[in-house]
Amino acid sequence: MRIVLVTLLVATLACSDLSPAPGDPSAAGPAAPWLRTEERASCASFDPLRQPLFGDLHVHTRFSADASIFGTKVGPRDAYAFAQGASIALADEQEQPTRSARLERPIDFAAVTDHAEFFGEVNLCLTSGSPLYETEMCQNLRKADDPGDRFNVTVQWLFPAGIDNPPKSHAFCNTPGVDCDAQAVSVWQEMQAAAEEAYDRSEACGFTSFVGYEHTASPFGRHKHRNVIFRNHVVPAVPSSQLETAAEESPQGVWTAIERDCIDAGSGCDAVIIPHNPNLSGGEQFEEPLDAADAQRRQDREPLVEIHQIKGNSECRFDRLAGDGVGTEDELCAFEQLTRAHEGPDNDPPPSTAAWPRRNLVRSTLQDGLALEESLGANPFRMGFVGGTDTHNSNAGDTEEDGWDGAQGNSDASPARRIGNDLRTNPGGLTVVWAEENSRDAIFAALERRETYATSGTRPAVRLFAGTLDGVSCDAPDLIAQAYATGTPMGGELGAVRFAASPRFAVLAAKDPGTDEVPGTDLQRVQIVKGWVDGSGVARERVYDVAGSAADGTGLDRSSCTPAAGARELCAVWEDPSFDPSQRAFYYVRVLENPTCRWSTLTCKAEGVDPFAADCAQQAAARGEAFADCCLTQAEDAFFEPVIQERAWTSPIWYRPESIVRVTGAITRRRGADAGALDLRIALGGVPEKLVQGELPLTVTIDSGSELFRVTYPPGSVPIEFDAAGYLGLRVTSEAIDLASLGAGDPTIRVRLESGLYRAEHVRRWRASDDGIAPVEQ
Amino acid sequence: MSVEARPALAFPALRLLAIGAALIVAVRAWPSTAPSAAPRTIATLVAAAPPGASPANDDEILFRAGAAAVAADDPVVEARLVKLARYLELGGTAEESDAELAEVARGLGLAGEDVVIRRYLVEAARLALEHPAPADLPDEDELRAYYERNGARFAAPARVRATHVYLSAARRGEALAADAARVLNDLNTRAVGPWEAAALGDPFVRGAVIDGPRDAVARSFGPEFAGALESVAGGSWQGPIESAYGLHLVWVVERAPAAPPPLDVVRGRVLHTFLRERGAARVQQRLAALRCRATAEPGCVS
Repeated sequence: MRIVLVTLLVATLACSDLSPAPGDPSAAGPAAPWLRTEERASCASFDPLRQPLFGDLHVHTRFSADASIFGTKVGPRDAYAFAQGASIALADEQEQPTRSARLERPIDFAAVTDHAEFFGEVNLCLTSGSPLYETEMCQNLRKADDPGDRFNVTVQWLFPAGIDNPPKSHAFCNTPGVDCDAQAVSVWQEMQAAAEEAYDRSEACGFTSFVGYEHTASPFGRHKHRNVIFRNHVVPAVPSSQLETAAEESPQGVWTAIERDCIDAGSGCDAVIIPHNPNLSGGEQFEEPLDAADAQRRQDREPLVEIHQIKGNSECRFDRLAGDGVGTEDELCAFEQLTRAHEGPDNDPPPSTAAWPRRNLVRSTLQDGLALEESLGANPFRMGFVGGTDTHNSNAGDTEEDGWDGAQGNSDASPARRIGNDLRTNPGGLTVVWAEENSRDAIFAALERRETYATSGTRPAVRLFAGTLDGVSCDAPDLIAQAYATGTPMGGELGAVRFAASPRFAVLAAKDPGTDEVPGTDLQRVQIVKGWVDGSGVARERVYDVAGSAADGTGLDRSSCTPAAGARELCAVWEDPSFDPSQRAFYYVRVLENPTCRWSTLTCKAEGVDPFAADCAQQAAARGEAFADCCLTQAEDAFFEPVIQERAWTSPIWYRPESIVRVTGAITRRRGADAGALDLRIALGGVPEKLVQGELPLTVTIDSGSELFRVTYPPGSVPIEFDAAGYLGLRVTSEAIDLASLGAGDPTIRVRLESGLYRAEHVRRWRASDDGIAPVEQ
Repeated sequence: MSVEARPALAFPALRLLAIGAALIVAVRAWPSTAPSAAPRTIATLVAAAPPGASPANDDEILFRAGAAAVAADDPVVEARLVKLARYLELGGTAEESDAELAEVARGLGLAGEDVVIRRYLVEAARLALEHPAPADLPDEDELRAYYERNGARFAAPARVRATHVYLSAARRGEALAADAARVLNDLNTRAVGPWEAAALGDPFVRGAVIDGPRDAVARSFGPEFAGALESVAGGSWQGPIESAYGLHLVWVVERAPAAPPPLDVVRGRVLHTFLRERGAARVQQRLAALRCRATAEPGCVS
């Protein structure tokens, strides 16, 4: 009996082993390829091959003066709650909170970015002449030598009574957003508190909030607005608004402020700056760089641009009636265009297509960035894409066309106002990041490396890779893993990885799965947009259909607005038929869904005015003057479309002749140790002349989140030589590499070169074995 | 039919300036806020507001409290006054300093009438009302007790972790169902483990791992798939389950029930929720006191 019981016990213990099964990435997977900068639980869901997370990084609440004036009464806490599925109140036409809204599908992350220009920090007691300056409370504050005594000071000026035996210090004062220095109340502290309350630091990783704000420069009505998104809870004491940075040009002023108060402050603070609405900037959002250093600085500070939001789309522009575009023949560039080039009083009449500022448009700006890189050595406009709402109703991520409630408080609080006043606005877009987990560090790392895409409001999943892509095909179940090992994802760069032959590009797109109430729309096609500058310095572009067809899915049922059937997913592996290894270029993917009814068409129909009916004008007249534009057709208007194609734009991949072609070799592990030796060969497509001539140093870094190796070769000592394939390259070796930070499993390794303004990087997923780690491509 | 260009005042930035300018029609003297030697409470500051219409609503009360409490040279107010003055071309010469322009605007009563300044001061007062006093901060025992009572609100939802072999409807067409049956049989016959099936099926954009609560799974695969996954037994290959994209053979590796995490993990969220809830009643009390003092209604107890 005893033997039986022991046997049973042993068997039970064996069966109840709860450790992850062999091969489970959660067991002992690779460390994250980015730094963990905050205290939090590890996410239960961590995918080294990354997952798409949907968010909105552009949200205004009542803390923005304009939102407040529009009647928005809800604040940041409400915005984050809405993002997670709660209902919030919206202002009606009389600014009363009688309407409500709720997201059918929560989003994964959000940032409240109220305008900093009206924050202010109300220092109640420190300003001589203030009405409270001579009050007993403020006198006590100024007398307090011990910071702990400041807890005697509260906002008790609202009550005559003091507080007996107040605590000298408190354990919770280091909680983000808990401001124990009660001498000042501030919007900024409140925003931090709201972000902390919303941020899920548990292993569930259910939602991520970011602290942020909008820097709102509008010289003479030209939009030079940009959002500042902070990596974690370490943020400047006061956000620098346009009021504080006006002494310097925009955007250099906000860069200076963020560098001083955050990035270079040594406090653990980090931030990205995201410009938006170049379509309303009169060409001034992306002005000529002051010099090469300024160009590199912009690339460092502004890795992204908000390409789609409520106030229109900024990808490109095509006038359907004129049959002419701004540097383009791409007829799909009529999508969600505004009629004005900026918001200054001198915009009437707006410029013609020929005179339209090309820097209002992201595609043109990216092309100009290539030309500037050629002349200056640095590309100031190397920007990935994000989407946002810019809602002033606090309804983050509320981008459904059907049932859209507007975004500007009372000014578009009713169907009549939305159609009559704001026909050309739209529900806005979303930011999608490919990140290992839903946490601030992971999402921020994705923003920094530009592994992002924008959507016009729907939620398709889209992957893009480029490189040799050996073993990558639409038939291969391990397409994703192989693509990360043999290519760079969206947002990255590559060199002449296949010599004179074109790199290979792999695209995999899946439709928005939708909800029970609102099914997702099938996909029509996938395009690759190539931009380059030819040998004569002329900007060129070409749009290639790589999967699906324009003839597909066009059968929209106009009576019910039911879209036609199409593709649930599309996949393509493509090579550029016009690839020229000597010409720098960018490639990005545009995914088009099947045609659907625009929000205005749905709203008009709901109000009894059918834009497709022969008697539409009569219906509109009966309904009211505000609905006259329900009957606007594409034959009458250069840009307006009652039927649209929702879409997604991936961040570009940049081809640079001087970038890294390949990395070969290995980092070998000493048996039983976390140390190893490095022997790598880095092949380059080109190097700066000054480097070859020995005038510049060269720094080589290898990291995977944590730095594994760094060496700086003094000028003249860089060991560059031609390799067997005829590429310039250098060999780096080291006998002392610390591998402790890598963890187990296949790591993502970044090899980075820096010499003066020359930068190049090569990011691939290497293969781990008992012997060490090595690039897959050898 | 053509669409007219938007009127200038449709643009938010200009609209704000125009509102301020329009209010110049109604001019009121700005109350003097010179400091006095005797300590004052906000109540007396409110009472010291110039005679006029009694506060009709909480926003007016808060505005007066904010106006009395905020420094006369508050930089946000100053910047707004300068902007208004320039827009309205109030300066006599081009050499006026910002301070001089602000003073001109203040003299015209714009500090009391401009909608942006008014809302800023209202917000400052509201924030002050809501700002937690040190006495509001809980000690550790109190916070833990609060979390024990309310832990369910912070609980992580039930979660499933699974792997899947994906068969694409687009790629396989009419052979989809048969292919799914064949692959399922193959997986079970060869006793393929949950993490050993990477070479089977079709590439899936989101990879081979499913991990998250039901609503997250629904957002990735569609609501029907998420619902069906709830009833799949773990420990072997099951299916096929249909998603918005095709069929999936799934191996449920783990199901974790909903559970509140340790307090230390969610401390910040819990603390802010605690402070906000504790503060709600306090804010109403403070506002009532302000209201009481401002209106000085008979029988009103401040």
